[in-house]
Amino acid sequence: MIITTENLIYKYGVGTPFEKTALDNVSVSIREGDYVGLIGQTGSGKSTLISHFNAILKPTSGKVIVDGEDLWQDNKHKRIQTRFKVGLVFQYPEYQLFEDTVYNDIAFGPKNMGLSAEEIDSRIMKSIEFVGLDKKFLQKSPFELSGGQKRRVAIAGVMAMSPKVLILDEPAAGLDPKGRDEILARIREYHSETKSTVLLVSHSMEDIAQNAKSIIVMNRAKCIMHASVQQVFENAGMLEKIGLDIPQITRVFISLHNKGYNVSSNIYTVQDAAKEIMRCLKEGGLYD
Amino acid sequence: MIKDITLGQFFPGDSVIHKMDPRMKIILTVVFVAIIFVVKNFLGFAVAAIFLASAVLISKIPVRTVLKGIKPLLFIIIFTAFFNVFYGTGVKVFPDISWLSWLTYGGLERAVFMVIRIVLLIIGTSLMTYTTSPVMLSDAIERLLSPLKHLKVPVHELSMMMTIAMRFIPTLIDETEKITNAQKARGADFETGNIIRRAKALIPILIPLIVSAFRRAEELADAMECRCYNGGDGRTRYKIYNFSLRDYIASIIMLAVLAIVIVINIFF
Amino acid sequence: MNNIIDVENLTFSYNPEEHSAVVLDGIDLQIEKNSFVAILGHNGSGKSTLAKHFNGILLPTGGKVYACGFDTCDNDKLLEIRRNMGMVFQNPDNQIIASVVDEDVAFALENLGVEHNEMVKRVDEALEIVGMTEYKHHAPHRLSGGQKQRVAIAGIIAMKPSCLILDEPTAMLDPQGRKEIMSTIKRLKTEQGVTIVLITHYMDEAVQADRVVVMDDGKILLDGTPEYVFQNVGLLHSVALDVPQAAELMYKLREYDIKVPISVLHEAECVDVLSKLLEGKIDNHH
Repeated sequence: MIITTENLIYKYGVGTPFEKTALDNVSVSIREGDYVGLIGQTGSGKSTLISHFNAILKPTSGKVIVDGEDLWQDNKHKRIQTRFKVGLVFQYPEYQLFEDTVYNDIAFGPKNMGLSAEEIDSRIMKSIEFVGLDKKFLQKSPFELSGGQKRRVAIAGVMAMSPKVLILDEPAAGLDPKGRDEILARIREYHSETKSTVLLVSHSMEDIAQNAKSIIVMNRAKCIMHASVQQVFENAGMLEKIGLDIPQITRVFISLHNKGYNVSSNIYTVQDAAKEIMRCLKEGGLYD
Repeated sequence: MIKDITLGQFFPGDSVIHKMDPRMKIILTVVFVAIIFVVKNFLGFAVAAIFLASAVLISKIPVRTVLKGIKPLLFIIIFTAFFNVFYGTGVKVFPDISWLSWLTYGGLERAVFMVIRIVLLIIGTSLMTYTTSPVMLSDAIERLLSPLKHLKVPVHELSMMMTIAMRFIPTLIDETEKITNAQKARGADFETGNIIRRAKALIPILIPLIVSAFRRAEELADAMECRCYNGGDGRTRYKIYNFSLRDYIASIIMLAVLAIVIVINIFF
Repeated sequence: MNNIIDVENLTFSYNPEEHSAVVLDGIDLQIEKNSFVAILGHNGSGKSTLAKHFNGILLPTGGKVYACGFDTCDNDKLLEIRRNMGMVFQNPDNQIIASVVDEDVAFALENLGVEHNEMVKRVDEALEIVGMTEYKHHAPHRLSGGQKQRVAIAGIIAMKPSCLILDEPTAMLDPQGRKEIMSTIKRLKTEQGVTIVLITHYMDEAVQADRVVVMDDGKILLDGTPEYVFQNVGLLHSVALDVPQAAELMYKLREYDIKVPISVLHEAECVDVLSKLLEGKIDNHH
């Protein structure tokens, strides 16, 4: 297990009238090398949870164990090291860019790690490739780039730290379909090439269905499920009940299934849907 | 946490003082400050203090909160007291101890006098900010200053700036927190090193913050144009303030306090 | 005059000397009163730039734009145009001006010099229409994204505009917020008779419009009913746009020579078609 939380509780504004439990007894374990989807409505505790994975937030009670080490057991140095192990890309990360060139901005994390200039350089080259940006961008100012390009630079800045776990909070928010598909494809590639653990926070069940291997479902400060994509999506009704949007195609197949047709109700992508229909037609002798 | 600081420390409530016209509250606060400076003796302070204590009780702001407001200014109070003691004249408190020869009854009296004055000033003015929302305050200031328009003072522009600033302070505080966390996630260290190092560490926060403030300003300007904003001319106001009975009563009480203090000054 | 927006051969460039900087390239577009038009396109296709011409925030480099019959270049009519052509932007945080919800909704009315009693009435009405009455005295920054955006919409409709232009109003919202906004604008159209122009890159929102205009590279690529537009699956993919999953499935099945109808957009229709298909009631080649 690369990340484990034990009975993690986090409360905002303790002792004030605004006190609110943002995480309520959350115990999850993330396997090394997994691609985990984290879903839940706004305010369900997703962002609070991931901010605990790299010691940005301190638990009110409970433990966070990263790579075998209890984050809040002793010194601060360890927590800074944890930030290099668990790379966190926040929502709209393009707003964190500040350096004069793309190169220097991506170098910020690796520099904080105290790496040598050559090592930093090679990491920048690798990460810019991961996010699919041309090397000619390296000497440009990040503020001259388009929104989608800025976002990639910001993601590259975290990838360049070569974290064991890469966490992305809604990396496609606000992008158009093309921008979204590209970013997600790049992250997939990064995952398969580096074999590192990836955690994707998203509202879009379609994106999760197409990318993740396992899913954590959060609802009202609690982790209500952590299972394979298949198992989680079998509970489409429950997911809808807690305010999540399930893909149109999934709803269509659930309807068909409920009407008694011999189709699977676990269909999340158009590709799978077409295959499933063809399978049924062939089995029913309606297509050969 | 940074979020816990609220500008002007407004405590919502529905006491008579909360409901008073903010313009009247500003005027009366100014009068109260004047009274504090007019007072010449302790009896006068006693009257002012009784008045202020009743006002605090009526406002239902917890006494502890009111006293807490003094804390940040404690240094100034001690500093003032110290200097007044030091430069005092009159009968020595310890005539036989040479190294305490500077301590005089006159100096002590002056120090206590000044401390009371400052404490009353702080409590009096903070009672206004505790019971009036920042929006109402800026609104009231604009209206009180509006006669200055004739002197070509850009009152409307200034108040629009204040309104927008107040609207965006919480947004920018949130944003600062987000950017700080994002840079922390990239290993930025804001907590160790000397002052220069720490100041340098703030650059990765300040630059994105300024860039974002400009972006917001641009978008806001478009949005304001789309809502037919055209400067102050011909504007009407949504919020209308009218002096009511409570405002008149409050001002009569305040005038009475002023009169009593003057009488005390003359006869005691 | 039945067109609320009339765009004639519009070109626009931020830098007219350089041809490469052309953002809009010869647009002709008429939008009818009380219609709901979605303008679809990827980032950089020119859709937001076009929208900013509808109320004179941007002025044409070439061609003409008439809003409510007024030339947007006519400076004397600008206020009238802005009042009639309300505009809502993507980031709700950057269009709310006051620190209290009702005071923000009143902002445009104050600017227009509306008389006080009328103003109070209109603020209450506008909040009622977007369903935010109970938040009247709240601070906007404590609201959710969807609620903030509804406040922004209330601030516009308080002006009683004849047309509401929304520039990617849901791009920064979660699914819940997106639903809130979509149902609000549909209600505005049916109950208040407001013409809706929705700029978006979400096809599931475009499907709900009466008419979809697809933009690419500063030009209009497709224009018609959602049923017509979303038949062009291949073309839409080529300009980096999605189609509804139902339409996409039909497209895929047709690649297997299965004769499903091409214009299927909604869930119920799709279930219908697939049921028939699975019962062998739809012809296929084999």
